Amino acid sequence: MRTSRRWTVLGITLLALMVAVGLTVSDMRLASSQTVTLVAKRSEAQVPADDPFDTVWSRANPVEVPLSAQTVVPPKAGGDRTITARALHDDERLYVLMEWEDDSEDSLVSSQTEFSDAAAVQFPVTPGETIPAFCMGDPNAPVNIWQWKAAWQTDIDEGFVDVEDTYPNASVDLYPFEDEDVFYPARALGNVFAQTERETPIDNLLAGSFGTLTQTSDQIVNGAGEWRDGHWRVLFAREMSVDGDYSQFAEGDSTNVAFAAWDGASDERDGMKSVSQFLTLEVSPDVAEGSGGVTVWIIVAVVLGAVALTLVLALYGRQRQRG
Amino acid sequence: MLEGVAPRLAVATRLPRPALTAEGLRQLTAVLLGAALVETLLLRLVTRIGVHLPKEGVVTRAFESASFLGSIAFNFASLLAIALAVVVLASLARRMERGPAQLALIGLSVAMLSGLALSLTTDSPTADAVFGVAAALLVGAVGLVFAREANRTFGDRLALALIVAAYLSYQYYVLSHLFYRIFDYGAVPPLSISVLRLGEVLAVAAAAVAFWAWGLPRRRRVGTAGLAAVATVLLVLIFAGLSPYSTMAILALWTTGLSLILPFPVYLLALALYLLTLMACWRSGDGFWTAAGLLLVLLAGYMPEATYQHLLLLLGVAFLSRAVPWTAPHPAATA
Repeated sequence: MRTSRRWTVLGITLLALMVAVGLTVSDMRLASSQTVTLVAKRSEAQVPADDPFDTVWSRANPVEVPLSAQTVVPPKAGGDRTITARALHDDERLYVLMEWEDDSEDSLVSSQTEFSDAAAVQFPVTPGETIPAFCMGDPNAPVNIWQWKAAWQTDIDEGFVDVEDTYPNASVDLYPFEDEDVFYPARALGNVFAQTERETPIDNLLAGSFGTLTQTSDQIVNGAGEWRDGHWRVLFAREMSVDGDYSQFAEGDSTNVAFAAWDGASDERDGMKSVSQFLTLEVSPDVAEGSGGVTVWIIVAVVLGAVALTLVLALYGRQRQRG
Repeated sequence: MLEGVAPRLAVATRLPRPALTAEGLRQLTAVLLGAALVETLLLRLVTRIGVHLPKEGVVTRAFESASFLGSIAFNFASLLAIALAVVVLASLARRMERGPAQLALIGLSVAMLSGLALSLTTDSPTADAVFGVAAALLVGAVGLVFAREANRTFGDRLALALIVAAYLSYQYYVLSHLFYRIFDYGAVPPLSISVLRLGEVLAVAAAAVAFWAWGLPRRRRVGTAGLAAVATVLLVLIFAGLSPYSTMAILALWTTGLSLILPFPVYLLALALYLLTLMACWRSGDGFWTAAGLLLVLLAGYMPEATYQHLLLLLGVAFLSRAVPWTAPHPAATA
């Protein structure tokens, strides 16, 4: 009898294992995502790529996303940064809006002790069952990152901020080749950090694992960031379908998206940042209307009622059992 | 068939009995724990924290192999979790008298499994909502109501209540956003992030209370090997915490869903207490189901990203509550 029971357990285990191998070989996962979904609905109104505070954003469904603490240098914990994410599309372009609280606007990097506020969104290049590592992706699952910096925004809005702007009374010796490329090798080679004339405050990057983050030759992401009343709002905009090995978007499709934010006032730069896990991003054919209101509270009431009813029924059953 | 089951819980025989014996279910649970552990280590942990390694040649092949084995373990564990969840819920329904409470439990179980089936086969947010709400209610009912029936001590119930409260906090964050999405409500759900953060604090507090409830009475069972194992895990984490190339964030985010809002030493202390409790229960003869429950809750993580992790948590809470007849402590067993 005991041998028979043992064979039953072994049989169930082997059957489950065979099914699991079959599912894995078929590139299927026996689970579905239960994370928060950011929905990019279709906007019938024009979405200005240079105004993150435009009223069109009141029609988008916001999602609150918790970010980790900065975890590169001690104390590596104790942070509670949160961003609010919204997304829209207009059949041609995808727009992603990040908003977070920041007491100070850090948009200058012209001295060694100044660091810029910044934000980034990250997508898998190829959406599918294999979600890349959120830390710069994997060799077989690269990521496309769009990074915005407040300092680059200042360069665009107010012109390149040079050392003379920060230290206007400084005495400067004669620089004989000041206007020649040989004096600025990084700029001459097209290093993104040395550019004085930017067309966009957002860098289009690719990565295939830690240490492989690379600026692409196609700077195809537009947008703008603005600090207002203790809040940053940063808008990323890009054509949904583009040439090149970048993330592609289409109405009706889903992919993943992760967020990162840097606080310049806390000396955050490079890997010192707060990050989120991957969420689901759905590019919806529905029109963004921002309706709802009363309906949602009816549902909340129904759910709370169901909770209360279940507990009452369970307690009633217990009383009867005792009786 | 139901050897080792408290007499009070073994009286109901109105619904068909499951075909497996208590020992068989114990063996299947052990297989699930092994598969879930392998999945966590190979899929969620190794392939994620290895971001600092150069991914070329042999290393790439090793990563791909680990990822493939982890995916098999994921599907295997998911299948077993679904099967065991069905058996657990059927066992709970069987032990109840016929009436509205039993109907409510059966209704919630059917709703959760239907939601799961639809969620696996469609992209419907409504299916996710049905699964999420039913899972939350079932975890709440098992962890709060059935634990009271199973004559658990105050410490047991407090630890369970904290685990359940942490889970419900996370579910509030996810489900409130989901309902706002379904009903196209263009606002942020009230207090969603505050409740999510509170849940993380409750999850950390649950570790300390679990130690008080289950670990402290069995502290002598930890043994030198158990202490060495826990110390090794902690030393690795401390080293990672102090290293300039830390993988701590990845470790926390991908495997447990914690966002590190509290000081790092608090998480270390909580993990140490939780692992000591797990080790003490594992090494004591009467603590298998408590150890299994603790491990399942740990593997589910604070922010369960997939349906499979929700099932792990439901099973973990059910085993910790000892409300399922075949996990109930023997009357002669002592803590």
